[in-house]
Amino acid sequence: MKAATGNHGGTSGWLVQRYTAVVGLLAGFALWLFFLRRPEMDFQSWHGLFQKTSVRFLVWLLVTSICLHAWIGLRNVLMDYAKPLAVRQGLSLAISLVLILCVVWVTDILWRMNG
Amino acid sequence: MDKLRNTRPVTLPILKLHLPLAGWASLLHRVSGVLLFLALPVVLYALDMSLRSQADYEFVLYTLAFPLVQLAVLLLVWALTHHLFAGFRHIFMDMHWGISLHASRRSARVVLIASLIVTGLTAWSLFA
Repeated sequence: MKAATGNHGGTSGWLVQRYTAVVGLLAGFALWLFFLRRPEMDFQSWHGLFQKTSVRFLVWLLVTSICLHAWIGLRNVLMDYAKPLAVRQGLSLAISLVLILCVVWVTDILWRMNG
Repeated sequence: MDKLRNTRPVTLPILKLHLPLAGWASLLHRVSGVLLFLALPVVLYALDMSLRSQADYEFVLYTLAFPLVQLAVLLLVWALTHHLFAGFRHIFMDMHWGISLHASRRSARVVLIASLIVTGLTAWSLFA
């Protein structure tokens, strides 16, 4: 019989956890290289950096993969330690909302300034 | 039904057990992950502020200069590096690399010490 939650016993979560770890690491490393090239930072150069499409894309990718990664990771933690179903579901919902808001937020931060 | 449930395995009482090094690396991987999740909205808030205007940018820098804030930054540096190194250890083990007891103990020690070294170096650059 198929489980009600699907026919994969957590394999997709396991995979997403690893993919997002690698993608986040690569995006973070690329951004680190961007910032290393500018040791002298002021508001103008900081703001200018975030006008670049490449930097916006990398930051978005970094935050989004962190959020997906955290979603799976925190779900695993909740499954181990938050035993009462209501507590687990409540926390799970709150965490999901926070993570979705974080992705929306970073999208707004990155693309609200035009040009 | 209740009887059936009572015989089921329970979550280990982690505070009552003496954890081996690999257990510490694993437990702290979770702790650091939760810390990083809690820090994410704060970091996004700082990023948001820093890109608004010259004055807001300077306010973020001003806030980051407080010793207590720098301690929090230091904690996040530890969390990030520990999570990163322990994550590498995980992925290597997924590829069946270093899964013997001896190798696992050694890599756990490397992870624990390496993240402390990076945190120490950051503390040095912040406070010295």
